[in-house]
Order: sequence, then structure tokens, then C-alpha cells
Amino acid sequence: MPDTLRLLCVDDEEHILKTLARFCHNEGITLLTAGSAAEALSILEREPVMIVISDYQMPEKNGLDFLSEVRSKWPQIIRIMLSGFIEPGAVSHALQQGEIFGFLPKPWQRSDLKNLIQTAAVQYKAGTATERTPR
Amino acid sequence: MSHAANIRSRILIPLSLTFLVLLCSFLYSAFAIRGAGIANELEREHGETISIFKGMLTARTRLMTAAAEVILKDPALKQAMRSRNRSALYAAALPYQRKLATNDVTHFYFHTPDSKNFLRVHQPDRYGDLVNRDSMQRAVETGDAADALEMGPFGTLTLRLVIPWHDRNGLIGFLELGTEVNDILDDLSIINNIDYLVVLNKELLDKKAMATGYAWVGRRVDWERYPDKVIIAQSIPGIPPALDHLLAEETKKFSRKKAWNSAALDNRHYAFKTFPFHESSGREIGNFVLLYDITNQTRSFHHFIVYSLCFSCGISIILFMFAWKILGRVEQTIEETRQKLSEEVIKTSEANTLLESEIAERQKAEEDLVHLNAHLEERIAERTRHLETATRELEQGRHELEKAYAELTSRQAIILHQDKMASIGLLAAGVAHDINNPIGFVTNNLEELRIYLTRLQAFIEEQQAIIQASASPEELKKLQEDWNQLGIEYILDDFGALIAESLEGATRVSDIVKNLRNFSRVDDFAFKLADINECLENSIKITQHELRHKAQVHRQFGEISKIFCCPQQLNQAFMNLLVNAAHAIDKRGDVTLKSWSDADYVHISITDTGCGIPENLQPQIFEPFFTTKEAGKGTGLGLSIVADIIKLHQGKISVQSRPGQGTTFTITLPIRPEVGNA
Repeated sequence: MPDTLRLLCVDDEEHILKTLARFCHNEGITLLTAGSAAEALSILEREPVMIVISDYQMPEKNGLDFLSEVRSKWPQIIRIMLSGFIEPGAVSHALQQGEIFGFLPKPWQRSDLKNLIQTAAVQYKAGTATERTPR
Repeated sequence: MSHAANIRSRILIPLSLTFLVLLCSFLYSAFAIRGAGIANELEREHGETISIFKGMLTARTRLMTAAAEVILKDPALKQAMRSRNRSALYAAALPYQRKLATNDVTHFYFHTPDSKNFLRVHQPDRYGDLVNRDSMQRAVETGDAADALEMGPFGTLTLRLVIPWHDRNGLIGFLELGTEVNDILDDLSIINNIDYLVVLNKELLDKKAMATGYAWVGRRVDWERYPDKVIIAQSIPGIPPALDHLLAEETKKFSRKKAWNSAALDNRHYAFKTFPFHESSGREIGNFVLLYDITNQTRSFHHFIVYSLCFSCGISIILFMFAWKILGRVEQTIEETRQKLSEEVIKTSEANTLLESEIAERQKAEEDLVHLNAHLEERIAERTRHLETATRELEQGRHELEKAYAELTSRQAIILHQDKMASIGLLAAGVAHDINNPIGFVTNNLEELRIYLTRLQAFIEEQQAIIQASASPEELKKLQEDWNQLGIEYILDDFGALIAESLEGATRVSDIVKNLRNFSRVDDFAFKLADINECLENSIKITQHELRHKAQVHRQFGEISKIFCCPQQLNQAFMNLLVNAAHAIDKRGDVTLKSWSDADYVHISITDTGCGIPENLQPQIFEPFFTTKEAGKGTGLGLSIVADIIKLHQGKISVQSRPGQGTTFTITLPIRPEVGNA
């Protein structure tokens, strides 16, 4: 991958984060991880991030609300949902409204994830902070 | 059959009578026309004969007139007459008399102006008598020549001509000439070619005188033959008996007015008529009997009558027989109809009697009831109305309840099943997250592991190459021994398969979870346009775990249009059928799914090569709680749910099955169902 992609993954399942860490290590992506939305937000305050990948079902705050907040605070960050259980209606709604850039269901295919991240990177570089039509 | 006979006679007797009357009229008319024709003919012949007769008389008169003129101009005669010298007159007249006699002028007179006979030249010794004959009287009265046909005292017919004789001093006397005309009567038959008789009345004649007179003119008469008539002329040799008989009768009867009579003589037929015969003075002196030969006419007339009668009678007999037959049939029909009618009438009258008695009884009962319940009737009517209303409402309510109950029972099974599936769906949704997370990291870790393996294999190969080049034989041998002992070769080979199999297992787990969720989604029972082939594919996926070990699945999907349906429910139906198909197959078989469509319907068939359904059980298979499976293995709801779902889609399901060979369920769904509510 050109340059170094900085990726933040949020999931309450530690094994998921470890698996994603292995993937990023092997793909040469810099990965930051967070076990909850609050932790992730504090990381985002400190570190520059290009892409955020979030689970949906998490304690305290769900993935959609979290990504919504990310969008309002750091609109240039590309947002991706990675989830094992979510209403299909909610996903399509979020995609249409521009809350998220992409959705990947769990369990995911490695190649699918790789493709999605590459597309997101291209999107990030091509666009300014407000490449997606705001509400 | 008395009625029938009546009808026959009623029609045929008048008809026959009418025919007879017509026949008689015809005969009468034929005879009358013939009679009138003959009478006319006789009249005409008579007229002609008389006119010829008169013509002949006129000719004689003219002859006599010419002779008289010569005589009257003789001065000797004139002188003798003036001087009343009878002998001189006779002497002078005698030459004339001889000459006249040769011309049949047999009478030659000279009369004085006072009508007294002066000289009969043909009879000179008789004179001085007063001449009062018609011809004489007319000559005296008119002073001119007068002629007349007259019958003399001898019964001879004489044509007389009297001419006044004048000189310068006036009338000196009269000259009279006369000729016997009986010979003219003889000539008439020759001229006119007819037959006739001339008879004279005896009362005007004297037997002796007549005999003398006729002897004188050379004729004979048979005075004694008829009592009051005597024939003086006849053109036929004999007298027909009928005429003879008639002539023998009295004059009055003989001359009675009748058109004509008929008579026969020597195979000849005559029509004869009697006409009066007059002197010039108008006195009737006898009769002119005209005979008209009608032999040929009568023969042809008789032939005509016979032929006509034969023809009419023949036609009538044929008509009579035809009518007889037709009427016979009509009579038969009438008789049959009459019998039927009378039977009907008897039945009707019996029924009427029964009805009448019944009506009478009812009326009596009604009157009693009316009398008894006059005041109760209104209340009862009101009560009845209330009761009726209540009954109707109850009935309606009961009906609605029944309907609702039927609907409820029919949908209960579906709802039960839906509930069950929904619970499974909720459960699946609940565990989905928990399962998907581990599956997610397991599969991705395996993927990373595959990458690691590739790298390790590459590294080991590189390492081995270096070791081969640099290590001592002992070290190499040790390494080779360890390599073999630890089965490194096998490990490296098996690593890929191991990872692939693990990944397949993980994928299968995630598929099961996904399908469970798709299948038992609670939120989606609405009708919408859906592709039946997709539904079938989903159902196959869901029942994969059942089918995989039992059957090879064959898909023969046709190109079918999307239909308006509830795909979730159809999935359920297809799934039930597929599970049943899998259960029906004992060891291994085939399951074939087909779909095709026509203008209004989509057809789906699911065929298995399982144990089949005995024919006697086939009608029951769609009933709820009917099962052939062991206790605890089947609910008996599967096919009843299928049937309900298909019914909900206004479709049809049928089964063809042969025990031991397999079963085919065929479903027909309308592309556009009329009601689209789940």
C-alpha cells in the first residue's frame, strides 16, 4: 500500500482486534485498536486516523452512533461498519445517508476486507474532508 | 266408437247428399239446356218453314195476279160482265180457264159488286150465292186486290185472289182466282229438309165433303184414324207411336202448351212440337206438327251424360273413400284424446272433490281459529316478529362465529408454525452475533495462518538449500532422520488441506446462522412481487442439511415471471415439502424441482424417488395432525401448513404418488391473486 494507512478498529471482542492486527501487520497497515467507543474517541483526539472500522453491537454506545459522532467531529475520516448482527434496513439507511462508507458482515472474507480498505484509502486521498455529501 | 261413427256419418252423409244434389242439378241443368236448345231449334225451324210456306204462297199469288191482269184487260170479258151476259162471259172465259188449269189455278170466279157469285167458270151451273169469304170481304172493303189462304167446305186449303174490276163507269164486279195449296205443303219437306204433319180439326169439316174434295185434288185422307183430327199432309212415312198416341187424344190436350215432346220411330228419335195452323182470317183450322230429328244429338248427349256421371261418381267414390279413411284416423285420435280427457276430468274432479272437502275443513278450522284467536293474533304476530329478528341475528352471529372459527382453525396451524419459526429466528438472531464474532476471527486467523504457512514453507526451502550446501554429512543425516521421524514432509503437505477444511467448516457454520435468520424473519409476511425460483433456491439452502445426505438435488427452473405472493410463507411451504422428500428417501435418491408458467399461473413440482404414499392415504395427507412418521418424529402439521399457505395464495396443490416409486407434489399459483393480504 502506498504511504502508510492509519486505521482505527473498534470492537469489544479482543479476538477480532487481534485478527485485524494480524491482517494489518501482514498488509503493512498501521493499526490502532479500541475496545469501546469512548476509548476510540479518546484515541481519535490524539492520533491522526484515515479509516475507522467499527463493530455495531457494543456496550454503552453502538457502532452507528459512534460513527455518527466521528462523522460530525472528523468528517474526513472514512467510516466502515463491520458487524455480525444488524438490521439490514438500518445498514442501507446508514449507507444512503452517508453515515458510513461501507459495510462488511461478520464473518468476513479477507479479500473483501482488503478490497474495501483499498477503496476507502483511494476515497480518502481523492476527497477533501467533506467528500461525502453532508446532510 | 259411437262418437266416431257419428262424426263419420255427420260429415259423409251431408257430403254425399250435397254431391247427389249437385249431380241432380247438373243432370237437370243438362237436360234443361238441351230441352231449351231443342225448343229453340223447333221454334226456329217452324218460323223458317212458315216463312218458306208464305213465300211459296206469295209466289203463287204473284202468278195469279199476273194472270188476272191479263184476264181483266180482255174487252170481251169486260163487255160480257158489264152487260151481265153469263153465257158470253163463260164463252170468253173458257179459254183462260183451260190455260189457268195447266198452272194449277183451279178456281175461276166472276162476282157482282154486291158480292154475289155471277159465274163459276170451273162450275158454270152453280151461281147466285153470296160470297162472304175473307178474301172477298177484304176486297170489297179496301176496293183493292186481296189474297188469302182459306179452308174450303171440303177441307182443302185454297189460296184465293180477289181483284175488283173497274171500267170507265166504275166497279163492274170482282174477279176471283184460286189454287189448291196442299201440294205446297208436300214441297216444304223437300225445300226445308224437315219433317212435319199438318192436321185439321174435324169439327170444322164434314166427312163426306172432305172425302169428295180430297178425291177431287187427288188425295186421300184417313178420317177415322183420330177422333177429332185428320192428317192432310205428312213428310214421314209413318207416325211415331208417341205422336200417334198424342194425336189420338182430345184436341184441347193435344194443343196444350208444352215446349216439345219426343218420339221414336225406326231407330230415329224426334223432338216434335205442335204449332197452331191458321187461315189468313186468323181462324185456327188445325195444327202444324214439326218433327225434329235428334237421333245423333240424343246419342251424343247420352254419351256425355254417361261419361260425366261415370267420371263424377268415380271421383266422388275416391273422395269418399279418402275422406272415410282420413276421418277414421281423425276419429281414432279424437277418441283417444277424449278418453285421455275423460280420465283427466275424472282425476281432476276427484282432486277437486278432495280439495273442496279439504278447503271446507280448512275454512271451518280457520274460522274457529279466527274466532278464538282474534285478540291473540296481534300479540303473537309481534312476538313472532321479535323472535324472527332475534333468530336472524342469532343465525347471523352463529354464521359469523362459524366462519371466524373455521378461519381461526385453518390459520392456527400456520400461526403455530410461524411462531415456532419466529422463535427460532429470534434465537438465531440472538446467537448470530455471538457465533459470527468467533467465526469471523477464526476464519480470518486461518487466512493469516495460510499466509504464514506460505512464508514458512518458502523459508524452510531456503534454509534447506543453505544447509545442504554448508552442513557436514553427519549433521545432514541427523537432520534427515529428524525430518522423517517428525513427519515434516507430511505436515507441510497437510497444512494447506487442514486450513482449507477448517475454513469450509467455519463457512458452513456461518451459512447455517445466516439461513436460519433469513428463513425465520418475523417482520416479513407481507405480499410482494417475488421470484419463485429464488424462493425455491432459498428453500433448498435451508434444507441442505436434510437433503445433502439423502438426495441429489436437480433444478429444472423455467423462465417464470415474478408473482405477487408472500415469499416467506412460500419458503416455508417449499421447505416442508423438501424435508418430507428427504424423509421419504430411505438411503439415497433424487429430488427434482421444476418450475414453469403459462399465461395466468406459475407451476411448481417437487418430485422425490422415495417410498411414496399409499393410495388410500392420499386424501388425508393434507389434514392437520395426520402423519405416518413415528411418534415424536413428525408433528403432522407439515403438509396441512403447505395446503393452508397454498390456499392463502389462491393456488392449488395436488399429489401423484406410487408406493415404492416416489411422489410428486404439484403446486399451481395464480400470477395475479385477487386478494393480496397475508
